[in-house]
Amino acid sequence: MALQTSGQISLDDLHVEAGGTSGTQCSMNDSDIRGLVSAAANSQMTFSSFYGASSAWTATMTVGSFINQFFGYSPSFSMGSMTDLTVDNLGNAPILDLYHNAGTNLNLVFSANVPNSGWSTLTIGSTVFSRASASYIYQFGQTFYTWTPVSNPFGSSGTKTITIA
Amino acid sequence: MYSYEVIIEDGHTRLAMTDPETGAYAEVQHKGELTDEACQTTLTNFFIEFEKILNPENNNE
Repeated sequence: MALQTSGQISLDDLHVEAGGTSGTQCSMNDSDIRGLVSAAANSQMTFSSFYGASSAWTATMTVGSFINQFFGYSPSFSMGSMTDLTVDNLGNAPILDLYHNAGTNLNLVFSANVPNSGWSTLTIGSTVFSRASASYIYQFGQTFYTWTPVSNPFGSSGTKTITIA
Repeated sequence: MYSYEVIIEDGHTRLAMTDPETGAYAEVQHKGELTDEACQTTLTNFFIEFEKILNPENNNE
């Protein structure tokens, strides 16, 4: 959820938005907090510069399908499209696939090594999947998150808002 | 036999392991008892299913 757009913001608010734990030690110069506003290390920042800032990445998917068993986005199946494939809050991790497979698996695939940390939820439309509930595997330069068994969150067509936070 | 470590996060249990042959690193969801037999079954079944993810056209067989 983005930070408020007016009023008083605390350092703890910034820390929580950046993915930290409320009440724990932090500073405005921490990279995750600076990352909310893309500020360089040791640069001058004001609390108001964080109005509306969000650690979440959001894109819109035009849902595609393949042989009526795969739904979502996957270039290898020539299905679907996304407005953004670079997840900037995960170190610009490039999304390779995001699709539901054969009635059981939801798969999020990056064409890079993405550590199993640094984000909490994948939201597809109104359906939320927690990172902690996924199986994770990194091999051959690709990172796979898979949730199973889950029902298809994409539907068969139309658009879905995708958020990683 | 797989060698693994247990990770518990937000109430979810994962079995973490590295494949010594390929270097692949996995954290596999595990539900149920934390006996070695149950964990070995979870890991075996996961890699069977993961093959289908890597080769999804085989899902139709």
